[in-house]
Amino acid sequence: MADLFDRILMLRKSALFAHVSTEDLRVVAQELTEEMYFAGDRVFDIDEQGDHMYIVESGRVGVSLDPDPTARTFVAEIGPGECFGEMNIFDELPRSATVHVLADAKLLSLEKSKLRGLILRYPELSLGLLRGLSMRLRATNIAVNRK
Amino acid sequence: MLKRLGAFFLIKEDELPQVGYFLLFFFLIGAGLALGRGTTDALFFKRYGIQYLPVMYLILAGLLMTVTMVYAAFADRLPAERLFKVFFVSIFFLLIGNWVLIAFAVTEAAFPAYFLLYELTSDLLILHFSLYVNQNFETLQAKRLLPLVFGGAQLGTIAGGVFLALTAPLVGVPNILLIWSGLIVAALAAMLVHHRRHGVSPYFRPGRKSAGEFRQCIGQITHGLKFAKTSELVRYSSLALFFTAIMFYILSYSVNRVYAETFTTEESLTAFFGMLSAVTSALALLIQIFLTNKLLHRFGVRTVNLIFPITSVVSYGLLILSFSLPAAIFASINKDALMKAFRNPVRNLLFNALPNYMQGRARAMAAGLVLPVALALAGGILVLAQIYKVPIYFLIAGLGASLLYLYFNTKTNRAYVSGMISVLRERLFLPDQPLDVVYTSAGDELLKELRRGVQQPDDEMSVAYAKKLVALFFHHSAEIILPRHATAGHAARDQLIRLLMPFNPPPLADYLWKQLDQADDHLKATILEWFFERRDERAVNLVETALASSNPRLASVGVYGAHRFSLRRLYAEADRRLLELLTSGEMSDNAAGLELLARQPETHYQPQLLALLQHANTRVRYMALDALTHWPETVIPELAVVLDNLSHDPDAKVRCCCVACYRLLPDAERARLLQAAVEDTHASVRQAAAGQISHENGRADAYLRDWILLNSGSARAQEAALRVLLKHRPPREVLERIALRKAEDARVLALALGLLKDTAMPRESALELMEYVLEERLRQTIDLSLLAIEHVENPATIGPIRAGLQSGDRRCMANAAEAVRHIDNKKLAAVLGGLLDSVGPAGRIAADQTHRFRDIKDMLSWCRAGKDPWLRSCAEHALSAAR
Repeated sequence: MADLFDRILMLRKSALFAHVSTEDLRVVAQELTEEMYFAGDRVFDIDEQGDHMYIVESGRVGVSLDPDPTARTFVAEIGPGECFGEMNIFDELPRSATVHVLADAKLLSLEKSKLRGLILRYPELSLGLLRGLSMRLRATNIAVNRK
Repeated sequence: MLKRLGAFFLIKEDELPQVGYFLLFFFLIGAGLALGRGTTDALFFKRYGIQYLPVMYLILAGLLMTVTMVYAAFADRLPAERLFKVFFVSIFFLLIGNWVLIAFAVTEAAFPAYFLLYELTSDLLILHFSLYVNQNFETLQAKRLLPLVFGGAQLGTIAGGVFLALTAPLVGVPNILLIWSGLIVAALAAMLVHHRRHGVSPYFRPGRKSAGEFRQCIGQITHGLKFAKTSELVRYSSLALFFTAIMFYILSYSVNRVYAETFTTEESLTAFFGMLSAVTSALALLIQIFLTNKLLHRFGVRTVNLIFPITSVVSYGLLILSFSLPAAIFASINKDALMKAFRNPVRNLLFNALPNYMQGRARAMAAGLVLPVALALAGGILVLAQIYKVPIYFLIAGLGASLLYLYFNTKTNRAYVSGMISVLRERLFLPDQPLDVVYTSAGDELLKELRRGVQQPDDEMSVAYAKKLVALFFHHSAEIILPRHATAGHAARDQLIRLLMPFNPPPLADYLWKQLDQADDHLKATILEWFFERRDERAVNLVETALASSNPRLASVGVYGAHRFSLRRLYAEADRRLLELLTSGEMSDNAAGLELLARQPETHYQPQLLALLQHANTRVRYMALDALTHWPETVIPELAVVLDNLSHDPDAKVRCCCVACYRLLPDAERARLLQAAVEDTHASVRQAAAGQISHENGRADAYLRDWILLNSGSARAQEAALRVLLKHRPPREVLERIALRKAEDARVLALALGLLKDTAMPRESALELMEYVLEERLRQTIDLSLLAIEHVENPATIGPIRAGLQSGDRRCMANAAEAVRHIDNKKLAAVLGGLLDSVGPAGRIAADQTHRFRDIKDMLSWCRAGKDPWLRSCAEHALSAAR
């Protein structure tokens, strides 16, 4: 049970789930699966089909947009509490980036079908997620504008 | 140290750099304006003559109008800091030019020119300050920080005044102009550095314009005028400003006349002005720092807005009694200290109740039209009054203006809240009226629109419009829907007919009879069912055919017809057919049988029904549950396990139906499942459960009232219960009691949250989660309180306030919090208003009232002892983590 509460907290702190109530996050936390990766691993490659999104529980991963999945030029580094791979869950397009593990990482993965099931079942969860996605888009717009 | 100072002045930690910058910026400007004020007045009165002051007012009025029109053209379009840049550079060069003219005695016209330059500069800078701070602070921030930030200007004025008093006799009055221009350069540098680091003002939203520059100038003011027609706030605040200006300029002339007569030399007058400026500014600063924000918090914007008009009336009273130095000094304190301390911050807050795009225009109208006209009028009055040597005539005119100012300020106060609500509605895209009111009041236009909608080729859209049509204009529905029916697809034909059936419009029966031959089996079943239900004799002969049909819906309708017309000879066949449908492996058969059972519950098919409750298909399960909701009142113990399983069904519709079936369970099971359902994740399930709970407990309204008052579930469950209670139309007192109790509950939650936030970091993750949960509960409980009061207060006010608080937009939240303070229920306004204000600056509540909880453990134990399941488990988790 203690693990569940920690996961809820982690989800609540992530940008994507920040606007979902902790009550609704219970069900999301229950569906998370723990996966262990080691430095040098790749979580997924650019252009491959995917059906999971991830939350970094510990460790660090790097995001590369290079068409060559082995290239290690990172546009962003992601640390504990942050999500990646969620775009594919909603748009069903191939992965837009390769994610490399920079330091041994414990990831929590959420399967696409499970998240979709939750969205259908818990309407307030979907609203919170939409808000989270919208906030991320705003943040990106601001960042692009600043550059 | 900095943190403690921040806490004392209600500044959040992350606001410190911003507040620091504004203090410095306003200090530099304030110091410069103090130097300008003293030198302008002394040079003009002594080298040119105070008798020309009224004429200067008239000239200034014209100039002010022109300059402000140009200002108005750009005010909304550019970030405030960019316009400041233009001002500062222009003022710098004009000051240097003026100094050259005065120092080298080029022309006497330099004195009135300098007077006009100062007046225009100060008016423009003050006007632009307001826009600048509005682009950088939202309402609640402004309420806390503006008095302090404007205090920076006062500090600058004190420093400038003291400097002037000490140095004017030494360096010569004209050379002070050079020092002022130096301060302008320093302010410009500070501003450029700040915005280079932090970007443009965060609340700057450029206005949308396309017209040419000149038309824009005029446009800004005419827009402001048009807006004044619709906005009471703009109208009354403009009228208040008009009389403030008249009152102010007559008061200025009066006191300056006293001073010019009392002090005979330019140096002594400058030194006096310097000291006066320092003293009045020091007073203004002390009041702003120690009193204004506290008064605003304690009594609200509307009360503080009346202080300056009242002291102005008193000032004129004293001058009328004795036109002497003491009365003049009191009047100067009023116009230079009290005006800055009370009137200016409040006026800025009032402008926050206007839409962003109108703030600049309203200010432009005020500065470009209202102020110049008032100034010209004041000048005219003074020119006329100078004919008579005695001051009583212009003093009486000033007293009249100050009384009118007081009157229009009371009117402005009333318009303030409604203005704020309008802005919220506009920002959050809320309709002016509830949709049902819009629907019922739209009349022919809406009917025309619905007709057009029904006639469109897309079947789904057509049905959607038809649903609204029959709900609002059922008298016209047949004439519009039947022609469309002929061209609709199979599914839509059935849906359209079903919409008309409950109203049975005159042409329907004949129309359907004609349709029977050409209708597909599905539609035929729908039509026959309707005829059978109405026991239409024409249809008796069709029962047997329907019963024998291979189509399950037709067969099911045949069974119905046999019973409806009491055709005993067909009973055995009907029973056989229904059993066949219910036990068939085909989903469509089951659905047809269940549809019939829902219409005509027959308990001897209970075993088949229970079996279908566990069918693999959701639709069949749902239809079986639906049939069960019509079941006669009886306890079916074997349902317990089935319903327990179905209560976890992913489909909320199924869970809703489950709730309606709990009445068939033994007491203990029913209570357990209903309590779980009222905490369901879907609002409709929670509401259904709350309805069922109240239904089973005698006087539903009393039961629900107590259920909510006793906090018998989570905030979401209580909301569901409240919505059900509202359907019972409870008396006003009940809702007020609930609202107040919830506000009190919210206060306790805020105390708990405050205590948690004050706990030193690093914190246990369990406590961090508790913080999130308490924040959610606090927000939900405040909303619950407002929901309860919404139906007894004006819904048009409370609705936007609730939406504003939930919006997540800081400005909307701040405006909503401010509007809460002014709702009609004063007790609730006090509790919620205080709560929303204090939740802002972190830890404020905790600092004030920690005594409620001894420590974190005490607070967690309190959470654990409540009836909110989620809060209880989180508190339990935090307590066990602490162990």
